[in-house]
Amino acid sequence: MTNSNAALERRYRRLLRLYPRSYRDQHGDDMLGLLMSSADSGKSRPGLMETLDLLHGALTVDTRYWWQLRRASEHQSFVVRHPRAVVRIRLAVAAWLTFIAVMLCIGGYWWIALFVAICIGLHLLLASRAATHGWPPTGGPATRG
Amino acid sequence: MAKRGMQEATFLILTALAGGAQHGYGIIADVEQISEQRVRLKAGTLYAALDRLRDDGLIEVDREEIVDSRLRRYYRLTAGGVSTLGDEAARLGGHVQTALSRLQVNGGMAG
Repeated sequence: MTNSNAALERRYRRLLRLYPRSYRDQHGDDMLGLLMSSADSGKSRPGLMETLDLLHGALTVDTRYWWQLRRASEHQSFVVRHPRAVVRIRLAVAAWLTFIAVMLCIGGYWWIALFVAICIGLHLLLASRAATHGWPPTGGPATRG
Repeated sequence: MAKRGMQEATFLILTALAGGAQHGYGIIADVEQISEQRVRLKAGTLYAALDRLRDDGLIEVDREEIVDSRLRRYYRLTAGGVSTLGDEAARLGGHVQTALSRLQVNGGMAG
């Protein structure tokens, strides 16, 4: 494996870490194989559109997994049962809101953007509270925040 | 399930698998061909869709192969996937028929 290949694979792995662990266990190797085999030789970093696509995929999957967990846990003390999922979804929502805020700024809607920014702050605050509420919930060392 | 209509990418992925079991790269190439180069799926979109379709019971894992020390997982349609794709194709076909017949009527009036 060449140096640029190794660097590319490392960067793809880093992006794949944005996905829930169970999803990564299921599809991680398969996705990495696809990404690496369709990359041009000598390429050392993922393209912009490719990166955005992986980010979008991670947000989509995170959101769907969160709903599944939420439905399964009867709405009771959700933060206590699945703090990790709460952190993930709050960060995902914050990411979406950041995107919206940037769009609003570009469009010149400063006041609405400010309101959205406050919402982002609130989500990040709640995410950090969920993170300290018992991280990780069951087994396995916490590797990222 | 298909009450709200299916997204085009989902429809094309199921259509690709209707031709037989395929792995990720094969699905991307097939979808590109079916859509006449218009739809080029990327990895993030494709696997998010495959994961959801499997949860919905429309597709399942056919087999796994190791090629150049990399995993390739092949997917195939389930019986539920076949009937869902059939329903959706029939629904879209109905729309197409209506559109074509109305265009013919209007064309006749104009001509």
